[in-house]
Amino acid sequence: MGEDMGNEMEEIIVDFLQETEDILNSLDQDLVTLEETPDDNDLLNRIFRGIHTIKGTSGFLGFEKITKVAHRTEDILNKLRKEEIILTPKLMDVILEGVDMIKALFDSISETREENVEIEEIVKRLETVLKEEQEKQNKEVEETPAIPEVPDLKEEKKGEEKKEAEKKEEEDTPKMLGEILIEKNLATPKDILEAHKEQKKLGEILVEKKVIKEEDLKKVLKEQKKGEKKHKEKIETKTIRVDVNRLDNLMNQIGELVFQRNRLVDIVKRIVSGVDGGTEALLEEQLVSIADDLNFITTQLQLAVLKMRMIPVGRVFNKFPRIVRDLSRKMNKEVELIISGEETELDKSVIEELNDPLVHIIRNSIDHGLESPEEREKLGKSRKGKIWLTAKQEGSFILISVKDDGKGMNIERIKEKAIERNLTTPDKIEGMSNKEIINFIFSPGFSTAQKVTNVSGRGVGMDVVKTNVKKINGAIDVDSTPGEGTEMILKLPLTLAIIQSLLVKVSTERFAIPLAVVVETIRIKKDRIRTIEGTEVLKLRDEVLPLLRVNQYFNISFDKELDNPYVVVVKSAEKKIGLIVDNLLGQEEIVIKPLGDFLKKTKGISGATIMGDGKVTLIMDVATLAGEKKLPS
Amino acid sequence: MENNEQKVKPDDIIFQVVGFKLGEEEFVLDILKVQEIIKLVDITPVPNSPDFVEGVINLRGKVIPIVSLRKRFGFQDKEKDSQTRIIVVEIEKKLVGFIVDYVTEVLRIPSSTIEPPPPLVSKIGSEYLKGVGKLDERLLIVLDVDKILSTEEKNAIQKSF
Repeated sequence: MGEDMGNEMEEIIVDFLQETEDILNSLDQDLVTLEETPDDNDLLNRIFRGIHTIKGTSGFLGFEKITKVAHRTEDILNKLRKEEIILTPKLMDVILEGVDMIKALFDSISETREENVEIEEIVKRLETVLKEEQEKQNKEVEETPAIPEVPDLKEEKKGEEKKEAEKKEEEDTPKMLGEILIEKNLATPKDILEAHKEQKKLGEILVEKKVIKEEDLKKVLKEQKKGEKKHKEKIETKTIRVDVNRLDNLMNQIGELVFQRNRLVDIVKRIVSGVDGGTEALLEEQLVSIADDLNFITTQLQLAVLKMRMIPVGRVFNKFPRIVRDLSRKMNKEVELIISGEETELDKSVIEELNDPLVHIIRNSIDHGLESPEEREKLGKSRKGKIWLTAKQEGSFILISVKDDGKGMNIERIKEKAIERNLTTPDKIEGMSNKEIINFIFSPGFSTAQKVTNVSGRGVGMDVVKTNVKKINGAIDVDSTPGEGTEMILKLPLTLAIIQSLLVKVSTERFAIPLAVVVETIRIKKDRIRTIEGTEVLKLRDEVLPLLRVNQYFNISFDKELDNPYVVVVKSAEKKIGLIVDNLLGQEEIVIKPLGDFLKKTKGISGATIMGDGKVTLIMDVATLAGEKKLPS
Repeated sequence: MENNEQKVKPDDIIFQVVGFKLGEEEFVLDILKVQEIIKLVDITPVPNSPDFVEGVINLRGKVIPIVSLRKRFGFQDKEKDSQTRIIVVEIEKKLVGFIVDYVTEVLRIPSSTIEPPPPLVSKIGSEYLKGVGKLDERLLIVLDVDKILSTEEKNAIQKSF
């Protein structure tokens, strides 16, 4: 019984966490917008309702700290709503602090089911700031008669509805034995309570019978609790909210699948029994039609399942107005963030990996990219710097771009740094294009910041961004014009599970290359391959392309060198190289499978896939291959 | 009754094991570690992997690595034939396939007949062995599955990068 109660409670808490997370996700953005448009009453009411809901549900569940912080924050919002005070930056700061504290408590609850954060300070701040602002504003404004506290009818009604809903829930849940006994007058509540008291826990009984010692029991109980917690954490990370329409769609597809299976079973029966099978040609025709339909349905199914994993990129974007606001205040810059395409959908796992790289890039834009308001005015730009954060779909890729209208990258400075850090030599760098030079920023530990600030200049940055983007099979591109700004474009696969790939053949082996990194494929005569400083290269239009023989790299034996090999030109964050392969087998959509723990670190291979013939094909890790080849001077 | 007690000690545990051969030597693995035994299928070689890794296979939609036990233990390599089998075992929740010459049978051996491995029982190092069991006249080498891929292998795999 106790366990049932526990599970029920757990379910309610999980629901609470889901709901609260949704509210918190939109709160930040709403609050920042409110600061810009303080007269938007609908927005203010929405924020108020959000906090109010958090207060209500957390109170119901007995999370006292969240309730208290939410309550104090709500007080301020309520005063704003009733226009008793007006919104000042100071008030906004303290509201945001309150929301941050709710978030911290939320994190604590989702991890440990307890509120392990101190709140006294923030509660006090919320109270005093409200009081101070109120007094200040009251003095400033002529004495207006205080509006008496009218009980909010709407709120009350809402409360009633809730009570009714609770009542209904009560009726729906099966009654416990004690309750029924009381109802039927077979026992009094007192009897039941006493009976409950007599029930003992297993551990207590064992201690009484001297089977185990009390200290041991305590130890074991602690361990049990730990285990439970771990168990909970594991479950939590694996849930996703799915639109019911998408589930319905999936159900429909499954229905279709069942129908086709029945057709197939029917045909098999007829073939086996030989009864009214019609002619062989007729059976064949039907089989072909079933195969066609099955093909169609599986594609649809695949799509439906993928769609269930997709969430809008807005989930990540929503955090940025707040981040930009805080950073720009800290660095005394004026920044306008323009977000578009937030409805673009991406796989949940991709979204999760997206946050950190974007934070890095946006920090860089504000800190290094955008000039101070004074500098901008001198340059004839608007005081407010602009940052555009956009997402859009392009084929089976998602492009996410962060663009600013700041000063652009300092090419000379990057050159100096690159030479200083021995990444290249002065001779070599002279022959490089601006783009190639900019790519040095992706080297580990590279930073051109003159001074180390709170947010950047510590040399951890762009290489982390590159690593994260690589992890989700994406690519990154930088474009920068001095005086006009910088744009960083992340090219990401729609999903991690399925990618478009180019299949190539090398001797007897087949490999898949993610299409995201393929620039072009060409067939060349082998005498076009030149050797410079021990590196084989190909002159392609104006570029000198280092080449990598896949068969040598992977130690695959081959009979003889082909006269007309194919070169697959691939591009990873830093550079372009050409992969020499025997043949191109075509383009295919493949499902990525991990190689498993024992082989996951295999150099040059990022995963595997299973082809239509049931055989395993390995997926090339182009970033590593490209890293192997250095461009000769 | 008395006879029985002499043979099987009261606290004896009966091990169920899968027996297989590499050359002339007979090995056994704890049956609880074995998920299934399959015939040889197409193996995709994985470049830059340790030499005892023959490659990967598709096991009903899962990609699992295949280790040649002969190469692992430093035996001479042998042409694969119709008796070659892949024993799929679970190590640390991950599936791994071991290529063996052929699978003999499922055996029951009492734990009391298993002795710690003498240093020179086989060509292979005693660190991979749980012990040596005797069943009638047969000498069975009891492998410690968890160790086969745990120490040296992992180091080797990581070192090569």
